[in-house]
Amino acid sequence: MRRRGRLLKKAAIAVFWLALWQLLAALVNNKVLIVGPYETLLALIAMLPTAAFWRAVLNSLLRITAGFCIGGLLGVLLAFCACFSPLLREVFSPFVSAMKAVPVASFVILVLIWAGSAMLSLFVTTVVVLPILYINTLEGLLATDRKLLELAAVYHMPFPARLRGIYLPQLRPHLVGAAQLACGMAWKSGVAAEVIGQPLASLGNELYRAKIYLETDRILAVTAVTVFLSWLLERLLGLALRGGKRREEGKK
Amino acid sequence: MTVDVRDVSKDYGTLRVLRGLSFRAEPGRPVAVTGPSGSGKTTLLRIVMGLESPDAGSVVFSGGPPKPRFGAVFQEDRLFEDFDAVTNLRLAAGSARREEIRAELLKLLPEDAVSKPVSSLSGGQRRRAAIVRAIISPGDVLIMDEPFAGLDAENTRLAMEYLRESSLSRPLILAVHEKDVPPWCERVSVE
Repeated sequence: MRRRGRLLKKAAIAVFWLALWQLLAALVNNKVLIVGPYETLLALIAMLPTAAFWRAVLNSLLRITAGFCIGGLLGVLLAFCACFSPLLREVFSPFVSAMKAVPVASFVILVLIWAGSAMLSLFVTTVVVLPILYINTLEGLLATDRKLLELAAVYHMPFPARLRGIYLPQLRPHLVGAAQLACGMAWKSGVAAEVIGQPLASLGNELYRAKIYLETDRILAVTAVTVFLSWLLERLLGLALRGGKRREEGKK
Repeated sequence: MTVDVRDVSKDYGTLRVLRGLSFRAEPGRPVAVTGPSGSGKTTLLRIVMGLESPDAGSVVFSGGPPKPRFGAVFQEDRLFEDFDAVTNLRLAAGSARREEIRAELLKLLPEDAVSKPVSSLSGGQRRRAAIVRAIISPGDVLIMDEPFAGLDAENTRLAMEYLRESSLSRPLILAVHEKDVPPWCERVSVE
């Protein structure tokens, strides 16, 4: 009953915002400036049966997910290295600061010069995700309970046991938050990079073409697809990371 | 293996906590270090485990590996809170099978406490799990800092009996308050 109430509340909120959007579109009454949710839905339905649309979705999905995974794994790996070696921490520090501060557009242009546009979103996503995972993982590792590490030292616990018993429980909340944040950032930056670099058959390229022809309904439809994919991956990621905790509990 | 504590001294600034302390612990000859709070019992155990360095003197291990492993009970329980007692022992204490660990835990813990996350156990149950963890570990030396803290009289008696039976093959050094000294231990005082 309570669940049903929550669902109704969420549905009412969604209807409120969609109605507001539709009202705004009706007030502006200019299809180049803004279209309502109904026209957006029609544009989306028109795109759905086309092979080009699905190729664009698949290409962007693969590249951005691959970039997310590579950036995430590298970030976690470098954070472990930095945790165990203060020297490496200092060596990585300017590199990570640079990755955080350099505008995405600069990366895009550099990657376009170095490697062309085919793998652009993969590189850019990697660069955006890496510092987020690195900083959060390192923060979690450095906050690890010193007393448990002492225990591990005197018991000569092997690294896999330390990882499972000490580091992962400590890291999990940091990793869940960082991975979900990074997932959203990956899609934003990945599609932005595709708009600038225009690799063929990508969501960014679809956006760019819609912009050229002032097809606002298509712009919003592609945006909605991007938001949905980002949301879906974020949910799957949350389930996977929390599922890891349940699996640990299941082993008890 | 034997543990020789030789003339160990330790200061914290102007506070001298250990003064030329010497004793030997060996299998079948456990040592109970006693003394009032703040007298340096915990510091001594940390020095034996290599977690702190003495200002003078040394700790010598003979008849075993140069860097021995320890089965330790710390002042705090130091359990892995997300896991149950069996998994806690498996993680810290090596390759024993779950059933073996479970059987060992049941010597000191009730059946229902063995499979629950340790975060939901009572203070006394957590303490007993920490004692079993030290015993079941393949540590070359057993070190226990106030292992009976938080246990009632009956559980203290059971835990002492369990320790006496289970620690015969390894050196055992306990830090305890005067009232908790097991009668089968050699007594060493730090003042």
